[in-house]
Amino acid sequence: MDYIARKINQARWTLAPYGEEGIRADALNCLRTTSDTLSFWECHGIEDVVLAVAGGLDSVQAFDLVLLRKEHFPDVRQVSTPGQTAAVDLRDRHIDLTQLNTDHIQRLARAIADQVRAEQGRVRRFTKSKIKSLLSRAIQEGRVEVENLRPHVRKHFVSVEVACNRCHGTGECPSCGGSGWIVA
Amino acid sequence: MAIVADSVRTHALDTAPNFPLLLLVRKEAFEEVKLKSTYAVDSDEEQETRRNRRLEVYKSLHQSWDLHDNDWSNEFLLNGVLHEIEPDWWVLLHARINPEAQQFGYSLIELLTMQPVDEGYEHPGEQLIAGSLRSKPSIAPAWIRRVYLEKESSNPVLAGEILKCISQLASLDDPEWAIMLASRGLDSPEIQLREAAVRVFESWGNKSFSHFLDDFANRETISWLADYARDVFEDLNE
Repeated sequence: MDYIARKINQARWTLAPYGEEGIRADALNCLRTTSDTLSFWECHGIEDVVLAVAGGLDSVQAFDLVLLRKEHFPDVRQVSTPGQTAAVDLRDRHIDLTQLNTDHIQRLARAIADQVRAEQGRVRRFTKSKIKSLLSRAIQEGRVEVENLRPHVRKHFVSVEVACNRCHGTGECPSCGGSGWIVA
Repeated sequence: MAIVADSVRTHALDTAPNFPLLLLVRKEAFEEVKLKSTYAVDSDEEQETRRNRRLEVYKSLHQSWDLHDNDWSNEFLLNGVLHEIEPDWWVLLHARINPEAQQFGYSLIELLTMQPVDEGYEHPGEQLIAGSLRSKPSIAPAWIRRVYLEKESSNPVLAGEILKCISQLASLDDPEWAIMLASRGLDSPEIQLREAAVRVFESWGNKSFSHFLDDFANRETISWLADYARDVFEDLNE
């Protein structure tokens, strides 16, 4: 448990096209706090973190995970809180960094930027197909219940018949073969 | 020149006939003009005459279109087109922006400015786009394209946010227009726009569009983004 992980978008952390070498202000969009708190996952294995994050998404989209050493933030209050994820066995690995101030955010930002810009940085992108594959395996292993996933994530793992999105169920189009229903 | 005229008309035809023409004029349509002009060796006098004609046309357009200071088309005219094109072509472009399309654009930009897209979480801009595509499927892609083209050069990060919203839509009946927008985004100097463009391919692309990503991955200098494009390319070709 030396590392904590957070979902970011590393495009915001890469050097700006206008030659500015500092951290882009847009990068702070990945560090938007609520009640001076930021959400992280304790990292036992990177795939578990992917699963924990993906299990709370509204839709499956590619994302980046950055790993930071816990010991770099000894003065930051870390509180264990239940994570909002469909992966029930991972919920207790969620922690909040609380009572953050702008100095903390600046240090977090520097730590993330260093990881993104290092040649062997601890940041990695997970594609949609990789995320779906991890979710699918977790479902097969019983770690994730399909009904706990958000609807647009769930649709990748169940086949249900829904009203045709072209004719809206009237059956007046060729794409649903005149039935008015399609498999989603 | 005839090729350009055809090109302009072609873009005009790909939406409803009463829709304003300007938003359909893609920058590439004019690049041919620029290319052609490089073959011609103009005298200083000819160049001066051309500059004056452009200025006259711009002034007349400014009056006839009732452009406002913040009107996107004003910027588009100045930066995107007038430097590239002969004044005669402007006869094709007399049109006004549909007020409903304009309102859609204002709303979308406002939503994206207020709150950035957090990948994987639903964004209000996504709902606006989805609602427009549902209620006006034939014309909404042109509205979205207009807003995107407006921001592509002036605010490429915001253009990237538009592409992210498109990539996160739950469904898209005809993804070709979205892929075409994304293919433009791949050429942006702004990494956030290039990354968002790859996301559109990942969500809505298929094998027939994957060559865009192959080319992109070979020229992209940011290694993780090139790797991402390669991964998506492989997924599309599976």
